[in-house]
Amino acid sequence: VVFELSAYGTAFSTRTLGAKLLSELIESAERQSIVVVDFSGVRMVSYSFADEFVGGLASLWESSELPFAPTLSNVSDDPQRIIRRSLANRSVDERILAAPSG
Amino acid sequence: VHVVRLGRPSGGGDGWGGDLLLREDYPDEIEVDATALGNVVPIFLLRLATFIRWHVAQGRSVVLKWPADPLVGAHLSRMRLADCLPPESIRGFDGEVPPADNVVLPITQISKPTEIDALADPLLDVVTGHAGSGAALGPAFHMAVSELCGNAVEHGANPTGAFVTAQRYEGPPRLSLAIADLGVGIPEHVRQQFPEWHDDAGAIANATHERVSGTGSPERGFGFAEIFREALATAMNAAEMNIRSCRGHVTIRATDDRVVPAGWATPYKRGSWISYELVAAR
Repeated sequence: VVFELSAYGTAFSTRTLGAKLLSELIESAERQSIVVVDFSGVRMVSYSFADEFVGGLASLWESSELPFAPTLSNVSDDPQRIIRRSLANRSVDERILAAPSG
Repeated sequence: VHVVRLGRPSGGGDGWGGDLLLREDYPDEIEVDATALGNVVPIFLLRLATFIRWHVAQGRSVVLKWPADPLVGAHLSRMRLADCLPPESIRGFDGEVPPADNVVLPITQISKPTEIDALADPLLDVVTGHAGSGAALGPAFHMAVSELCGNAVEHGANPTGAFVTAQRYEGPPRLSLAIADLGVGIPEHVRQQFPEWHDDAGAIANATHERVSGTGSPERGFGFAEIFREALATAMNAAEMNIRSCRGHVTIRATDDRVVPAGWATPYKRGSWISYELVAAR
């Protein structure tokens, strides 16, 4: 399943929205083995949004609390820089940023 | 009637001129005489808007005498100061709103995270859609608005809400952002986790360090550091933030890959008042 972030906007700010979209993503991924979060068209994310949405997702995956493997696609430079900092601060592996192996 | 007279220099400088006090013991009627007011900086606009909204919320009648200088009046009109009061409470204002010009964000009241997220796309459009090197400030500006407004709404929650405004200057391209809330203040917020930080300026300075948060969550407390990291992500950008809260005032300068805070004690201020200047690489 592909979760298209651009359906919600192109710039994201708050932890509240990050938490809401993470819940929606998990809900939409029921009985899926791989979920691709498509960042096409996303221009900017704040640290708080990135940490709540991607950092939260990566933490759940690392602690084996997800029934699926998440991966991010088409992440442009600005959001990627911020996502990497969130993952580093959480001491979570960056493998969520890698392309899916299929 | 309590009369507040704003002189020509009241709204300039650091924005802390003029006796715009949030006092419970004022009479039922207040007149703000801004006829002599000169140029204003964004944080002063928020002081004026907050003063009006807070006293109105306390049940007082507030009358605003509009600036006589047409350029100053036009600027206040563009920044939507008149929206703070019903039209019959404003004297000398013709109701005209000139083109947006250098306005990035007029005075805006926020009290919920959804209101911050609703600002994100249009604000980024305004900043990045402007010709010149100021467009490169988009990512750093988005980070600052997101993190500071998020803090104001979550940690500075109060019945009056928070206020934010921003404007743009030319040569060198510069964005000026101001955010205010009448919440508990940054020192009181961080003392929920660090009660030994008695000094307000010291508590504010510490709150800007990584992993310092009043929430106690290990994932929180990165907002301020990320604002400056993003400001310096483009080489040779520079930024300055002034944080005033309770009895503390902290100035943080970020330039040449260095972030330098300095703090001192000031007269008490209710809530948190932050002004942030972001200057593009020349």
